[in-house]
Amino acid sequence: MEPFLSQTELLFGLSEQEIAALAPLCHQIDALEAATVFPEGTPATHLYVITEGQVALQKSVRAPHEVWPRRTTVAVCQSGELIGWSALIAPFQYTLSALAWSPTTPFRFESSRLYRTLEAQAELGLKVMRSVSAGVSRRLKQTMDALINARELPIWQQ
Amino acid sequence: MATYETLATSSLFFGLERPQLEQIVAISSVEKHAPGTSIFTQGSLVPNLYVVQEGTIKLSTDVHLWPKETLLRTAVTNIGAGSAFGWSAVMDPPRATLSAWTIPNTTLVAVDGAGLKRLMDADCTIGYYVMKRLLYLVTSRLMATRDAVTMEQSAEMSRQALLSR
Repeated sequence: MEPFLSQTELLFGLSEQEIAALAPLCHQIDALEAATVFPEGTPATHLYVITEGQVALQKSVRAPHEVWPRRTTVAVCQSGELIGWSALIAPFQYTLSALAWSPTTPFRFESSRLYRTLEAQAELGLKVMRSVSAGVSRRLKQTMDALINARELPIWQQ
Repeated sequence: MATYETLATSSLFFGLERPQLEQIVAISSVEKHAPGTSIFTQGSLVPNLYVVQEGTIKLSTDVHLWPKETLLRTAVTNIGAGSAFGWSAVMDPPRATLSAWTIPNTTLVAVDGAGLKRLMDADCTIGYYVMKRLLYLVTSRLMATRDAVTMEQSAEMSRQALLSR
């Protein structure tokens, strides 16, 4: 488990001792359980690291003329990527659904134990929060590209 | 408003203790900008992280169209007093993911990014606290952008529905 974790978005760059401190907080879940990794709007109890396959992040969208919302895919994540960072941020609620597009057996960290560990070890906490922020920042860039594609035309020009 | 009060009540530094905050004040300066001033542009190196003391900042995403270099600028969000922006200044590399412009006359507290990074590494208690708040800030920006995308998609779905009638 530890060699894989050391190469992931979450823990890349951490020392062996730091990874060893976090490894006991991490467990692998089976593919069936991971079919819906987490649904939007539910309490964010775990942070996930994808080990294989693809996981789609989807958001419910309801058009004004429709009664029921439909899901739109906002990102597709691959092995080594981190999903469910709402587990580290108040109000600790998933803002998207994560659905497996192919069999996957992700690792997951129980958020309250992870949070307590990071709070108790500020140096480790800083490194992990930096990694998570860098991951969210990359996702922001992808989302901005999607926004440009969706709008196609400028709101205002210079 | 003094620099200390602006930082102490800001979304990013709220909750830090006075001695910790005074270390951040020591690497900060106040900037006053006229309406329409560019604070930084997308892709450029960002030397400072900013807290809005007074006024409003528009954050936008830019595309330069080839070959005429026409600039298409799409607004992402506006931020007001007490909010922070330019968090890329403490990331590696410190490149702006958005462009920032003033709307009215705006006063900013500019915190030296390299200095703040050194401070965060030297005192991990400050580092962890600020990075936690920063993560919240980046996530808020992501959610605002994502909402803008889904609103566009929702509007497009409505247009398609109207056209098919």
